[in-house]
Amino acid sequence: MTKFICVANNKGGVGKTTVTVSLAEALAQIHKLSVLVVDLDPQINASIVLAGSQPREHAPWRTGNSILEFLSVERSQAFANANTFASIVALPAGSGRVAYVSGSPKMLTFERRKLVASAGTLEREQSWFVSAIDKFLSDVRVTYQVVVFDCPPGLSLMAEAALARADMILMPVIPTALSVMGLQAYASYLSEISPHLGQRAAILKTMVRQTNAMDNWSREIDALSAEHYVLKASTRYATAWAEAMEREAGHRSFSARYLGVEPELETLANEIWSKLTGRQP
Amino acid sequence: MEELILRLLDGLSGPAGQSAILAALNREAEQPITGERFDAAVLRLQTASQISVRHDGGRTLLSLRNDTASAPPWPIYREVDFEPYVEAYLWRNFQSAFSHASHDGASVLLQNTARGGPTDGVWKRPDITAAVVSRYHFAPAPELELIGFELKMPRECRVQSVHEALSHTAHVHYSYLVIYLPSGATPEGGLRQVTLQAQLHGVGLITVSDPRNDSGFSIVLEAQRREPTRARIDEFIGARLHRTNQLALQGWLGMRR
Repeated sequence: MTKFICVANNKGGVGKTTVTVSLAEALAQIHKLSVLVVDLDPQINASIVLAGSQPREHAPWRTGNSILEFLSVERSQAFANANTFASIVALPAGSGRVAYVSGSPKMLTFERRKLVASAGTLEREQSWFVSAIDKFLSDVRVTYQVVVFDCPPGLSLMAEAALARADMILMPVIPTALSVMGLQAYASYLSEISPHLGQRAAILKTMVRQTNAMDNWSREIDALSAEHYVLKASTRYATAWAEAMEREAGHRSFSARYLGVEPELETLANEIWSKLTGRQP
Repeated sequence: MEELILRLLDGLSGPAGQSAILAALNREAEQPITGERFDAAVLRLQTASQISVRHDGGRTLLSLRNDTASAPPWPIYREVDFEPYVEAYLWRNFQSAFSHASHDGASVLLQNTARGGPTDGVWKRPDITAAVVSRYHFAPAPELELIGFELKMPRECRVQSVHEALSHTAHVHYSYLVIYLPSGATPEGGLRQVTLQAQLHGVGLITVSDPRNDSGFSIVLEAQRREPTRARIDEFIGARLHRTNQLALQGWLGMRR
């Protein structure tokens, strides 16, 4: 049964894209799974990383192969098959499979234009996005075992629809005052969308910088475990993780790409997969 | 209101239009129900996975959610039951399994073309059609190629099926014959004859022992490229592919931005 993960947080710069891409590659490499990354962020950073050395003029967000084309159906038509918009990432032999549905910079204005053009209510528009996600997931269910959505910072109707269908909402957070407060606000936003979403949330501590106050805020994050699952795994060497994103996906081996953080990444992938499936790695 | 919507949908045999449900609710309610209240109730039911909302042909259709309906049938008795397994295999493996679709910049779409469109003869359309748009570093424009897949059950493992797949090369560049051959099946006409004829005519051959696993698919012969006329390709796409797929192709070929 396909598992759906949303990597989400209202705050930017906490490592959502890095976690999305590295988790997808780790699940493919370590658990030999077939993983689809869906880039909902108009910054398209996950798409750029996964496109690797592909010439930019052939990149899916330039050639009409992005999530935007899936959504841009005219009124008289049904949605196309979502698999149509997936691009394959070339991985070393012996691993599972990673593909991605590219984001589009035009997603910034798409939702706004759709809302303005619609004569209906906000709820009706939100319902349209939920049915788009349902169709999307029903198509990719036959093709992939895991689907990871890279959600944009801030709020978006499309991301909200994906959150409603997620088996796990993975919330990277950095141990700083603003990040922890932001996380608390995001958790209450999730409960507002649906009372069940908070139970599906999993908090991942991503330590993008070392501060004296880190231990205190780290303890604040742990205190949230009464309401949400706080992952035992954390990303301590965040700079090394970010550097891995600079290396080309696929063409090098997994070990070479994730030099220095491979054991951490493996721990994270194992914990997430075991939490999702109830099976020990 | 949610309970009333569920009750109304439960009494129907299939999906119902959103406006029809709102009208029925208004008949039952003592005071008129506003669009805002109705839309909010629909969204709550949809988010809670109790109903499905589908948009088709400009209409919004509501139905009770049934997640078990999508499982493909097993065991396979008819060709129509075989189709979803082959489609799923192709979606999973197309770019890695078929060399003519393995370019870095390739975009691929697949569609079941076994039914729908003009009824002018079954030999005029493959059961599944793939369209590949390839982009190259040193070619001025993207290139479109069509690949057809003709599906057959064990009893149709015969030379005539090769000829049927061959006839599709009038409008596709590569044609494959995909035969379901579970262990113990004795193919009429013999697989050897089929393989020889397919090789002779450049028809690709895929045998399937167990369609539930990718390892059950064997590409016995790669199809050889044919050169259908542009007019035939255009006619085929216009008659057989869905409008959404036609628009995707036009986008990939740079004809629509």
